[in-house]
Amino acid sequence: MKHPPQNILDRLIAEAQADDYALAQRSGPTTRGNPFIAGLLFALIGLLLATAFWQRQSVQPAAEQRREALVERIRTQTDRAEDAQDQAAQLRASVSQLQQLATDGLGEDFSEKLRAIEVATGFVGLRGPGAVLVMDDAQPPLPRGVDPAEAKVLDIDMQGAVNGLWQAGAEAISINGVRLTSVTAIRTAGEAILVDYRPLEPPYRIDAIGPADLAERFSTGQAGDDLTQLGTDYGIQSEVTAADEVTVPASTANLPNKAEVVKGGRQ
Amino acid sequence: MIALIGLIVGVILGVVFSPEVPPWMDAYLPVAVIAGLDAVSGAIRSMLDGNFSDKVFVVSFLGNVAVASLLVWLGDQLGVGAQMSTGVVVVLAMRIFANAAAIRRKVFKA
Repeated sequence: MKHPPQNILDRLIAEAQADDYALAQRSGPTTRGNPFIAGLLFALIGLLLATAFWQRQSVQPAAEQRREALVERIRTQTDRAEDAQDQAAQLRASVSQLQQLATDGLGEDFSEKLRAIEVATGFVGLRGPGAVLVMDDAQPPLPRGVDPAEAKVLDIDMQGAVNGLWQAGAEAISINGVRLTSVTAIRTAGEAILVDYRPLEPPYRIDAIGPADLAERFSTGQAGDDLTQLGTDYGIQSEVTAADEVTVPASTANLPNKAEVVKGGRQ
Repeated sequence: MIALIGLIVGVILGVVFSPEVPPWMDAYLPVAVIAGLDAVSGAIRSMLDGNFSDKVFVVSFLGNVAVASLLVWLGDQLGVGAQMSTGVVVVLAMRIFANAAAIRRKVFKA
């Protein structure tokens, strides 16, 4: 017998490669053992091999299928939500028309007030002069030392821009076709910005109706400065342009149905 | 002969019934499969050598599977389950290679 190797790896390899049968034979004649138990074990090994093989074959596509089914379900639900929102918008438009008819006889003062409230609450779609602000995540090459994960438009950036537009005199604003009202939240969920709980995809287009010099007033204000700063610091792209005609759709947010007007109304 | 028949019967059973493997066995199945391959290659080698013994086969296979599963289980408890099964698979693969080399030398005389 050779001198056993001292190196731990060599020893490990020698141990691992030892021939059990030869070693057993060397240590003297052994009992034969039961060939049927051995046969049974061979069958078990065959079963293991086949099972492991089929497991791999069937499990991976199953996970993939489940993922695709989920994606499909998300798509159909999103479509359905969009359809329902479109329908809501249509119904609201017809309600507004009917209201118009019903209040026509109530005098100029009343319908004008109603009109103003509808405009202010986002109940109706609007058009008029204003500005279009487009914001987008930074594109490579990024400014030096900026992490690509940071070079994205955040909800807080969008809130700042929207507040800047209100401050500059905007009367109605929509982001990627979603109208902002007094109950519309702009927030982040995961990677996406949600407006009115609907996820938006960049580039973000903010339409705002307001005075003809809205774009100028916005870009010379604090919010405009902030956007410029975001551009130089993180490479966030933004561009505000004046527009002769901007259209803003009606809000699809739910109308309040719990609140009741207090007696006397204005108190 | 019994060995070959057993192996074939096992594969057929596995294909026909394709048993559902319970999730807790996921970590042990690959290790058991490699141990099985090791046992089969060792058995073929010893058959060619003419010193095959049913008892050695049974005891060494069951012993190897038990130790390998125990190591993987222990590794799981210590949070190094993946590394442990890698180690077990490496050692068993080395044995398979050694057996395959012995078979090759016997069959091809090279």
